[in-house]
Amino acid sequence: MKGWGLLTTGFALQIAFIVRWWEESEVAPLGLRLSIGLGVLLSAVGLAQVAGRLAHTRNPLLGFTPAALTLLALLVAAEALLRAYQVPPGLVPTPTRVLATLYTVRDVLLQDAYQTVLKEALVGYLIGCSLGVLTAFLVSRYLFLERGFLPYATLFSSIPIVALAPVLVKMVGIDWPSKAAICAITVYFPVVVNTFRGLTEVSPISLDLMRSYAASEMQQYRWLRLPNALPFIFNALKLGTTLAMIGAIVGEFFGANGQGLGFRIQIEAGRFGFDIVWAAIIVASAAGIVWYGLVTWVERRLTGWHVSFRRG
Amino acid sequence: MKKWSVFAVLALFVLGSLAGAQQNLVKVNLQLKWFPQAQFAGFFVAKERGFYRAQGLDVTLLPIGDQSPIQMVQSGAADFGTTWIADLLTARERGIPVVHIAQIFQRSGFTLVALKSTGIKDICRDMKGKSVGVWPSGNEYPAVALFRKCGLTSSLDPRATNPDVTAVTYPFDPALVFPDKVQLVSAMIYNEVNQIAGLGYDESKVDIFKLADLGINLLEDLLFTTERVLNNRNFKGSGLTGRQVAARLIRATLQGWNWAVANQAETVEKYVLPVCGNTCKGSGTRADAKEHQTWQMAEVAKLYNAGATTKGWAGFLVPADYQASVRLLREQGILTRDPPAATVDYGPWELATGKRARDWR
Repeated sequence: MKGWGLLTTGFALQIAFIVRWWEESEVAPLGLRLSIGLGVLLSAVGLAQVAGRLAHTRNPLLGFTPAALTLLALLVAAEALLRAYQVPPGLVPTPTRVLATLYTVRDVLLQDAYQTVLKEALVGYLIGCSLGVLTAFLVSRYLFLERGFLPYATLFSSIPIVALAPVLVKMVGIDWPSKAAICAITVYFPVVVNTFRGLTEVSPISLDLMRSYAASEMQQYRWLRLPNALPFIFNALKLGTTLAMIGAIVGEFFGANGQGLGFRIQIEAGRFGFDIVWAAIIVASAAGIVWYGLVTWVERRLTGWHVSFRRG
Repeated sequence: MKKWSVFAVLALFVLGSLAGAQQNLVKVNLQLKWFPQAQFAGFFVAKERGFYRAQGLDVTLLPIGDQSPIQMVQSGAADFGTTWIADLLTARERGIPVVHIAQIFQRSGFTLVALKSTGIKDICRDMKGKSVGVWPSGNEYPAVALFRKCGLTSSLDPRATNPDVTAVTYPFDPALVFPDKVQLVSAMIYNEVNQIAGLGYDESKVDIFKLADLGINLLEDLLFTTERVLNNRNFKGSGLTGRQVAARLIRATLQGWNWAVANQAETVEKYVLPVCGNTCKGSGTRADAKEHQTWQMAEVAKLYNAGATTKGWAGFLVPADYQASVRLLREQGILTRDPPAATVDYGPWELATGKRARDWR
């Protein structure tokens, strides 16, 4: 229990300071700053001990505790240090300020998220992924596509397509379709490459077996190639959620129709409204995590048989 | 052999004295508010005609796109910068210790342009439900002030869920959004107005709403720095204080501006066009860089040669103008309190010009 004691003492020292310095606008004197330093140190040591003790737990709630405590410790330390040194909110706002702002501007941020996540990123993602899977099927079927097209897909999947954002915004216009186009293109190439690998890296023995049963090409795809490709496809789909969010937000930096998380971040960063910027980042992260989680959930439903999900 | 060594010694001596002269110059980074164009003619003249060097300064003029010059100066990437009053004061309110040290333009050049065919006559009444093109990074404040003055909410306001006016951001070129996506577009009287005309929408087809005429006379291009620079006792090890460097910078800059305004054709030809690339071009039928910059120089000269400048007080921030800008921003809720007195420092300007701010009539 020594870890918990240290952790609590560390938090108490910092929180006591935060409460005491809540209304002040001066830099805290050395003594108080040292007490924060001690608090940070104690909580860090305590956290290490607690995490060490919980390392082998099988209870998922307890297993998550060290991560949650780390976040809490970082937030408390940031709050205390920012207040102690009176860092202006126009540079780095305190966590409490960001949370209060998140609450007051929640409606507008939700509208922004609707525009950025559901319209731009999701539409682009769905288009890019479906086209990608379709292309991969064709490429795996026709050798001339594999020779003529696949090298370029591999090449493009390794360059940052987001650099195309300004070009696409200029070509397609400032409304949401230009951002959806950016997202579609960014997710398309990794999906093509991964799906193709999944469809073709099939065990030769299985393929021989199918052929000896005189399975048609359709049947080979349905019963062998597609199941084999699913884990590869889902890897690309999960990677794609992140790429689509990045594409949508960065795309809005190059022109936006008055809405969107990227628009909000750009406008408020230029006005030193960093509390709103951080609030928008929190909303974007939450949306990204939920989305990633959904894809992972579908993956488990469809590929539960795969070796990576087997319980030891 | 002997001849060569004499040459060598002479060459070394010359090189040494040149290097010495270089070393004595104080390196100063000045952040402009935009890409090079005639808007900054005075700065280019001061640099290229050696006015800065005569003051012992080696000034680097830094261009910028859609970012805030305040961020560059605040972070120390630049020592001084040019920006507008609204973003300066809002940054100050959010704790960034920026200080106004000289006012270059004495009048606002911000306009909103609409096609006559959209039927916008009374801008406050007719703007509701419309889309307005704005530039981000603090350049949207004049438009925001107008929306607020008209009692309209906009999508730039993070608390308005159902805004009356949709603000559309776009990269640089008004042709990207005007007139298809927005009914009104931000346009500087010295730049975009001519670009829009070049696209086929000249004065006969558009209405130009000057914000100054609508009661939004927010001061524009000004010189600023941070308290950290001003209070520096030994600026970059030069032996000069931050204030002295600021004063020398102001003196040479104003000298540059006076020269530019008096010799406009030569300024554009020799000092603007050589430093500017693509961004100096106009649009459509008025794309030619030289013509566009010549026109811009004339328009910019009008903003410089106004108010205090005409009374021989170039660079002076007229207290009444400043108070009017502050009052306007407070009335429209863009500022929540009066900026602290330290936001404006007349000291460097007084040192530069030998005048005293309190003698202003």
